[in-house]
Amino acid sequence: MISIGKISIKSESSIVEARNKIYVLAQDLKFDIISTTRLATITSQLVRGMVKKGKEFTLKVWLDQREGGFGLVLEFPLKKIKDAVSIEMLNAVFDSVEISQGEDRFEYIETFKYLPDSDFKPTKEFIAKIKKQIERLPIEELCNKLQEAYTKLKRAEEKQREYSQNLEDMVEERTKRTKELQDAQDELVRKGKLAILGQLAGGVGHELQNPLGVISNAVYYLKTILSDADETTREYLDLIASEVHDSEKIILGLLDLSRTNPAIREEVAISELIELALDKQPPSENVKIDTKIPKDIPLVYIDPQQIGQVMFNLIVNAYQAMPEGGILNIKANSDKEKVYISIADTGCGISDENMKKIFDPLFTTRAWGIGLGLSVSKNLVEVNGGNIEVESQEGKGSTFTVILPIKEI
Amino acid sequence: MVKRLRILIVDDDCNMVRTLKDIFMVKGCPVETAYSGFEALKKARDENFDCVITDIKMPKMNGVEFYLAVKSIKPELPVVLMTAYSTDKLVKKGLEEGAISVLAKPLDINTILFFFSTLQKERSVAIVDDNLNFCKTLRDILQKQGFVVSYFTNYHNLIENLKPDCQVMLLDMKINKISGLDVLRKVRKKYPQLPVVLITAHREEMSSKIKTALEISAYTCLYKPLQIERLFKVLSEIHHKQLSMILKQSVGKKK
Repeated sequence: MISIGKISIKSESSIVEARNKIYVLAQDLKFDIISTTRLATITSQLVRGMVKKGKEFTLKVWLDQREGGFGLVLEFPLKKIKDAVSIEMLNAVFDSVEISQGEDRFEYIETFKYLPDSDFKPTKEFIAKIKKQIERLPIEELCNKLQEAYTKLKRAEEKQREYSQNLEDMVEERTKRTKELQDAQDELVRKGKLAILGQLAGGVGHELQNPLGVISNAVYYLKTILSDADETTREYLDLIASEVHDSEKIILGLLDLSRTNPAIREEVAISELIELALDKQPPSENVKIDTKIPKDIPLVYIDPQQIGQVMFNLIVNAYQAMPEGGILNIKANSDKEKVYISIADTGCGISDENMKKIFDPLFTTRAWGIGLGLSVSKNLVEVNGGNIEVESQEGKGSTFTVILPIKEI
Repeated sequence: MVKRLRILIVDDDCNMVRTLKDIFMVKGCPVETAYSGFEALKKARDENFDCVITDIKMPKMNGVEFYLAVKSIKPELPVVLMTAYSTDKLVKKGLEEGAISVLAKPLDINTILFFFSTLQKERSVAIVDDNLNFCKTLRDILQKQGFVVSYFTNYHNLIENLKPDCQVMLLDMKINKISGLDVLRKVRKKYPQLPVVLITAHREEMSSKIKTALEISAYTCLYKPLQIERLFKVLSEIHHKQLSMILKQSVGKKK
């Protein structure tokens, strides 16, 4: 038996496919028109029977040499032959019909029809040709299959692109959120530290006032009763009094840090606050002050005590950045909603790595002082609806810009 | 006339009490002391003090509780609070309840001494009213309460003759048909710190003038016939304010 091929039967379209293929095969095998049609029709009927039942199967095709010559062999696996076609009909078309029972409970019909040409000799080329025809997918199905495959591919590509984009978006979002969370956490930690430090400073400050009060009284008393003592004694008493006074100032500084009063806002001229701060802490001889605050600068809507303190802190910082002298530049300008005050020094500047830390509580590059000034100032400004920004160049100087709100109408 | 002041100092910190006592003693103003609210309350009840200075933060009975207790038995007694804890809630409470002032430790001794000297001075009142009998009778009433009183029956040379240490002026709004507004203005100009209490019998007639007077910071207006209790209350208020001003407390109040 020479295997010609298999026709896979899957769906309704297979019926037509099978019929067409058998038709063409029969033509090539030189059957006459009637036989060709009969063969095709029978095939169609048998296949239809199975397809209607939803069965998938394979129709096998051979060429076989028997007594009278070569013949076409078709094998159909069927469930119920009777439903598909009558045996009489089969016997009328085929030269022999054999029905066997398969293990899979299919009935196998093997049909044999002698080729019309008894001298037929199957050449290699011929066999190859008819094989090809059997195996070839019908053009439409091929096209459909191609189309389907193409569509699937395109859809898959699209989906992949979507997922890819989605993933990217998600990663971006996640990164942003993580950063936001991190920033919020940092801010919370900073504020938490500040609050604790404020409490500590307040507690310590207040506690110190008691013994300081007694010392202050004691010195006052001694000075009074020893008003005619020798010069050294009087000098020593003055010394103690002066140190007590200095201690008092330090404590007041500490207490400033602990103040958690809410901002009591009013409209204030920023020039006044700056003047007050400059008066409170006049510059040393080698520092030149240059203020450029326009007369028509709008009033800011803030708590004057708190923002006054901020100005004082920034100005003192500026002085301390210029121990060898320099220029303190104070400027102000405004837009519709805010006033921008910049306090610039020509001092040592802030390094890049320190820039991130300068507003942290307890951070200081000096050998003295606690390092709460800037973090407290930042807090006070924010509580008043404003902001502090800083620009600096190491070795050249720093500029702190305080942004404050104008009263909304 | 300088009378000897009786001052009571209260603080659980013995060293604070000791140093204050020695300072005031050496400055010529001996003081009594107490180390707790209870002890102080007992002393204030049994003796007559001109002023009490007390710490706020004390165990068992704090300074404000003590003040409230003393206020109920000696309402006229000026009490000054002191503290190291400027942000304590009690500071606000103490002021609200009528303490003269809350002072921050360490104390400014000189300010307190000045405060004492003001306390020592007798309270003086100037009465300006054309009704001589009114002046005389009011003078007698006030003198009985320890005030030093001078009176004037017209606006003539009032400003020139007014004693500079006068603490309060009672001013009739209309003398001999002349309005007191001008006088008020002149007084305000020369003695801006001097509180002026207006008096008048003519409520409706003078109402607009009174309004103007109050706007240029006359303290208040009392109507004849004078309710003496009300007058004493007003004088007491004014005195309280004057004492507070001297101490210009640096603790608790926002600028």
